[in-house]
Amino acid sequence: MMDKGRRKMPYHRRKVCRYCADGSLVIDYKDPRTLRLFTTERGKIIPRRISGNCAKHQRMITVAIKRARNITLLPYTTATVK
Amino acid sequence: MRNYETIFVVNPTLGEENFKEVLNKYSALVERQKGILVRIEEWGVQRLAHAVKRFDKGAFVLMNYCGPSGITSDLERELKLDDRVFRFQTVKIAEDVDPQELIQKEKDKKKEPVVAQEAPPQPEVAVQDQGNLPEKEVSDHDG
Repeated sequence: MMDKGRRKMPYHRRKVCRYCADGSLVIDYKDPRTLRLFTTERGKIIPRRISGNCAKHQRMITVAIKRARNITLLPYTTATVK
Repeated sequence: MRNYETIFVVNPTLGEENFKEVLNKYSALVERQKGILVRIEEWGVQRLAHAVKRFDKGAFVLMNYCGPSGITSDLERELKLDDRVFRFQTVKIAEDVDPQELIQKEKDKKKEPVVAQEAPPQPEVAVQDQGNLPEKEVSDHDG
């Protein structure tokens, strides 16, 4: 029974938005190294439910990533075929 | 006055002299438009995350300046027509600023660069210097 219950409701740790937890961090589109933490290997933006960011900061991150892509600091995607 | 930031990517094969000419052209343009340059950063030639106009490297220049609201339209038109520049982007940073204050801040930053950057608890993220960005993996896709 315990097992069954556990399977249904897995232990879930609530993630904290790192930008809310630490006010000194800034989101900057000129800093691709940090923004890369919020993209997949393919270059897609990681959703909020996985990254744990709050709505406000996720919004800032998506804007920053899109700006960085535009000035070629981040990839839109990774193409494997040449 | 508004505070703007423009990044543009210059053809890396131009050579030192032509590159300087591009820099001078746009800094002069800002000043001609009654703008005030706060700072210019040259990031050097870097690998691009994706190819643009068949370039896979580019020389990045960041200009931070203050000016009246119309200042970007002239600058962007010139950048658009310039063959040597293949990507640019302008971002408005603040609406109502005092340029002298910003210039003063820049000077203060230069005086004590190390102490200020090592203070935050997460040095990995905080101590990043824009001057030496990491080499990125190339994503080759044919144009």
